[in-house]
Amino acid sequence: MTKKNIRKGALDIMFAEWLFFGLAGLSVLGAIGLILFRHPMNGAMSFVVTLISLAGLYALLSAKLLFAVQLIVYAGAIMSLIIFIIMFLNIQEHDLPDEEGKGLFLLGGAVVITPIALFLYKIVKSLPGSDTKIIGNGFGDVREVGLILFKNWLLPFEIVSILLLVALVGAVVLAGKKGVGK
Amino acid sequence: MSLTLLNVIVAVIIAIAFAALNAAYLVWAERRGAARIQRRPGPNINGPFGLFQPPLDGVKLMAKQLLIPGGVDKVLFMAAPVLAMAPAITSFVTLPFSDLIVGHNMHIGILLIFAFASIGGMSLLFAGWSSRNKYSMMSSVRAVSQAIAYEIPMLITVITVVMIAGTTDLMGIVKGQMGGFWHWNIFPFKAGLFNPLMLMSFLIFFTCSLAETNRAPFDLGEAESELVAGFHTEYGSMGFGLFFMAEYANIVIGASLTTILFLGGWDCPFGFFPGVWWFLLKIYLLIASFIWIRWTFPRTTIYGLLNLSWKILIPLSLFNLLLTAGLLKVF
Repeated sequence: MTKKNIRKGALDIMFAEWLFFGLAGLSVLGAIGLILFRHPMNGAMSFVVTLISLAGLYALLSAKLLFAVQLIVYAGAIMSLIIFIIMFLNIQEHDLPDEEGKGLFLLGGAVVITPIALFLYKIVKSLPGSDTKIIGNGFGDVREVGLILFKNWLLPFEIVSILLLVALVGAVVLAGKKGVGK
Repeated sequence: MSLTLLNVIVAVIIAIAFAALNAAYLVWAERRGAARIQRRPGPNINGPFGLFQPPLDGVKLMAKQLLIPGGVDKVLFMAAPVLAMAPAITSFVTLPFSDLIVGHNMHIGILLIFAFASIGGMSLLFAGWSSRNKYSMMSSVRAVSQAIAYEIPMLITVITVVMIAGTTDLMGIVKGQMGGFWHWNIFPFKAGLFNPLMLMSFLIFFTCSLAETNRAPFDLGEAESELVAGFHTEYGSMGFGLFFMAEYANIVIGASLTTILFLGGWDCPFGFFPGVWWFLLKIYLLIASFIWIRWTFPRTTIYGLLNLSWKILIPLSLFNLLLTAGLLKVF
C-alpha cells in the first residue's frame, strides 16, 4: 500500500467517525426532545430525527437494506401513522397538563441517573475493543439478508409474521362493533 | 475519498439542475396543455410560445417576501417545504438515465427511492399541521391516507417486477429488458414467462404513481373547491415554490420509475441505438399522458379514491404477485 493510499484510508475513517459522532449526537438529541417537549407533535417530530439518524448509523455500518427499510417502515409508515393520530386528537395548548415541578423532577432524575451513567461508562471502557474490519461488498444487501432470513431464521421469521397477524386480528376485534350478532 | 465526494457533489448539482429545470418547464407544459384542452391560448406573451414564462415566474416567487402567519409552528412551517424538496432531488441520484448516465448506482436503488418518497410524504403532514388552519389540516390528513393507501399496491407491483428481474438494482432491472420492445416487462412474452397480467400491473403502477404524486383525478389533497388550496394554503413566495417544484420533481421520478420498471428504460423499441434519448422520450410521453389525464377527468371523491385502492388495486396486485410467483416456479 502506498503512502497516498494510507492517507486516503485514514481520511475515510476520519470522515466516517465525524459522521458517526454527528449522527449519534443527533439521535440522542432527538430522544431527549421526545421526552422534554410539551406538545406531543414536537415530541413525534424529534422522534423522527432519532429514527432518521439511526438509519444513517445503519448505513455507516454498511447495512444497506436495513437503512432503506428503517426509512420506509419507521420514518415513513409508522411515524406517519403516529403523527396522523396525534393530529386527529387535535391537542391544543390548554389541553396539556401543567408541569409545575419540572425543574425539581429533572434535578432528582439527574441525581439518580449520574451514578448509573458513570457506572455504565466504566463498564463500556473495560470491555475489550475490537478493530473495525472492511467487510465484503455483499454484506447487508437484499440477497444476503434474504438468504440468511429464509435459511437460518425461517421459523422465527414465520412466528413473528403470525404474531403480527394476531395483533392485526386483535385490533380488528377490539375496534369492531360491540354487541352485533349477540 | 475526495474523488468520490466530488463525484457525489457533481451528481447532486446535476440532479438539482435537472429537477429545477424540469419543474419549471413542466409547469409551462402543463399550462399550455391545459389551455389546448380547454381551447384557449395559455401563456403565450413572454418569448416564443411563452417559453420565458417559467424563469419570470421563478423571479417573481423568489422576490416575494417570505410571510410566516401568526400562530404557526415556525420550525415545522419552515422545515416542511425543504423536507418536500430534498428527498425528491436525492431520488434523482439513484435513477439510471442510461448505462453511462447515473449518479450513483446502488443494489437497493428501488428501495431507496421509496424510502425518500416516504420522507416526502411526511412533509405534507408537517405543512398541514404547522399551518394551524383547518383546511390545511384536512388536506394533509387526506394526502397522507391517500399516500399510505396507494403505497401498498405500488410496492406489491414493484415486488412482482423485482421477482421477474431477480434484482433490486434499477440498472439490472433495465438490463433484463434490453433488446426490443417484446422484452419489456409491460408485455407478457418476456423470456418464457407468459404472464398475461403484466399490462394490468403496469396500469396499477401508473394509477398509483398518479395518486402518489397528488395528480388529478386523485388530487384530493389540494381540492380547490373544498379546501382552498390544501396543505400549502398558508405558504407564499419560495415556500410555495418549493412545494410546487417538489410536485413536478415527483412526477418526473414517477414517470422515470414506470419507464425503468415496465418500459425498458433506455432500450430502443426496435433494438438499435439504445441511449438516454429513448429514456427521455418515454418519460416525457408518460408525463404528457399525466397532463392529458389531469385535464380530462374530473376529481374523484375521497371515499371513491380509498375504495379504489383498498378494494380493487390491492387485491388485484396481490393476485398478480401470486400468479407471477407461480409462473416463475413453473417455467
